[in-house]
Amino acid sequence: MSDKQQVDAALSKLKKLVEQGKYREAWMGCDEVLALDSGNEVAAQLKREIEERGLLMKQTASKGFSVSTLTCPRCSASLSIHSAEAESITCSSCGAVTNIEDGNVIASVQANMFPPYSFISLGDEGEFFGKKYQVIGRVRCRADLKEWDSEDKRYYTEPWTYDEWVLVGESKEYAYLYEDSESWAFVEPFTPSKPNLPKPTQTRMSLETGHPEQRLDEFADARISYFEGEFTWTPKAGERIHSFEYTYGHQSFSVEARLGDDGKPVEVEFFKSTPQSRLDIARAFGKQQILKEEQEKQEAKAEAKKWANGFFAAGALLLVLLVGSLFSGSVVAEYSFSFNQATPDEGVIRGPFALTKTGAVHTLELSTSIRDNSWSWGAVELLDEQQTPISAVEGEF
Amino acid sequence: MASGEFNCPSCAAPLHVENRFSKVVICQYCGQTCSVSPEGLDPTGEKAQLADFESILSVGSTGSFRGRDFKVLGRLRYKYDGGFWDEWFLSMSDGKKLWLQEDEGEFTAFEKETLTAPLPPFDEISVGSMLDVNGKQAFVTEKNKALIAGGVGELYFAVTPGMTANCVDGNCGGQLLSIEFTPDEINLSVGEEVPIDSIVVNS
Repeated sequence: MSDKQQVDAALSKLKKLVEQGKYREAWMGCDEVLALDSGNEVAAQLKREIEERGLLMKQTASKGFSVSTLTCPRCSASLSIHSAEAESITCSSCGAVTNIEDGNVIASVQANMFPPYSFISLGDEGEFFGKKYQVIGRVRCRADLKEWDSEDKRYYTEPWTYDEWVLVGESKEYAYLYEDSESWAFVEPFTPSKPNLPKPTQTRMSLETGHPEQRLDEFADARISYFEGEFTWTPKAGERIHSFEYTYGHQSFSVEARLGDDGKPVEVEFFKSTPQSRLDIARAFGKQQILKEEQEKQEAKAEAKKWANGFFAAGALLLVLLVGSLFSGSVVAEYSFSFNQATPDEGVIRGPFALTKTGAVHTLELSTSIRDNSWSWGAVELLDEQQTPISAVEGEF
Repeated sequence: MASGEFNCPSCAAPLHVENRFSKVVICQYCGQTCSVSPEGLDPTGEKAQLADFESILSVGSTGSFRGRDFKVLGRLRYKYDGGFWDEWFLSMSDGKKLWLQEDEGEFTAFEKETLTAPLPPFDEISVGSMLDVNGKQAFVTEKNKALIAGGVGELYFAVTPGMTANCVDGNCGGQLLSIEFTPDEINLSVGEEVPIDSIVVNS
């Protein structure tokens, strides 16, 4: 093969490597072409472009740690990568997330690739607890969430993302709306009478002198991955926040520590939050379409319940709950309910009753006798000492 | 001590000094900081005009707070890495002075308190830990090196824009603390958050 054919073949290979996003190999290939043809403008230009567009990580040494630097493809700020396993890095200047694979930039996710989960937008106006607010900002956080599982009696850690909407009130007071894929909450800052920041190993806490210590529902080690709108502080993509939350009554109480570059808290804030439903949020912001959807859902549910309860009442049902000790064969408790006394809208709830026999396996039997063409449903919840449901069984007959 | 009508030494605008204990007055027209002395106004300070962020208070406004009438004499803005906050200097009808701190739309009313025991140096105080303040345990919520960005009106201590202050915020059993470390002194203020509707401003 002549030198020219070799160069042409190498250039063709380079083109394919670039198309495949293999920039490091392409960059090295440019050197091979330039070794054959030092004046090759195509290879020289491609090499410059790969370097200038920050598509290649450069290794530098820093106090025994290997640090790679990359230029943010969105805003050209310098990005430092400390782990060879890094798969993505968030630019602290513009918030763009850049994905990396084998030293190559494979995608630069633009900031608008973190759309809100829901129907809220910046500028929306809404009313909560009699006060009017406007949505002025949003922070998207990605967290390792350690959440208490009351059934398994242990904490589970899972990745979690959520949005914090920043609201400003008519009197310039600030509040927040928490939103994740499952829930909403209206969040307000508050001044606790017993301020403290739990240690990561701590499982119980209280922020108010009137609250007995409660089990921590969750502990989150979160990082800001994106923000938009306006803020009275300076959020930074990648900024780390530790939060601890417990529930008391109908509200959740939390402490949030914003961490500095050294991992130590630089600010500690306290919040209390009130859960909200999707319908509450739609109503607060006057979102007619969402309200219509939610109302239709509720009407469909009510209709189904009406029919179900009709059968329920007409069936003159007998639901029998037997709790027995498996090995002794003895019945610990037996409850019989006649449902022809139940009102169609309410059903009947009985209990709780205590299971006092320890060290024995218990069986639970749920049975009913119903008339033909009738339908019934029953459920039993197992509660812990704090009356929190830890397990449930149900049956449809 | 001077009090009365003056003219700004920089722009000649009328400058009224209300409080005879004021040490600094800042012209609301040109932002000139002037030291107040028995001889009059000395324009030795810096010039720094503040962006007029919306607030229910303004220098010169009057109103009432918890049954006491007030007049707003001055406003001081602090800047730090995370943003800024304003402090409003109020002269109360009972002769007392009150600082209303406005931060992210929330107001905290502070009154000066005497430090009766020494504090550790600023650099040794950690956010998220407890600090002994006058024999009580306070939880440290924030620590900043703040810059005095500017002010408007009159203030009862000597201050010039560009000065830095090391600030520590804390919470002692629900009572809020603000400690300011300057090269010359350490100031302790104790206060509480106040609902915005408890500040009634005369129209």
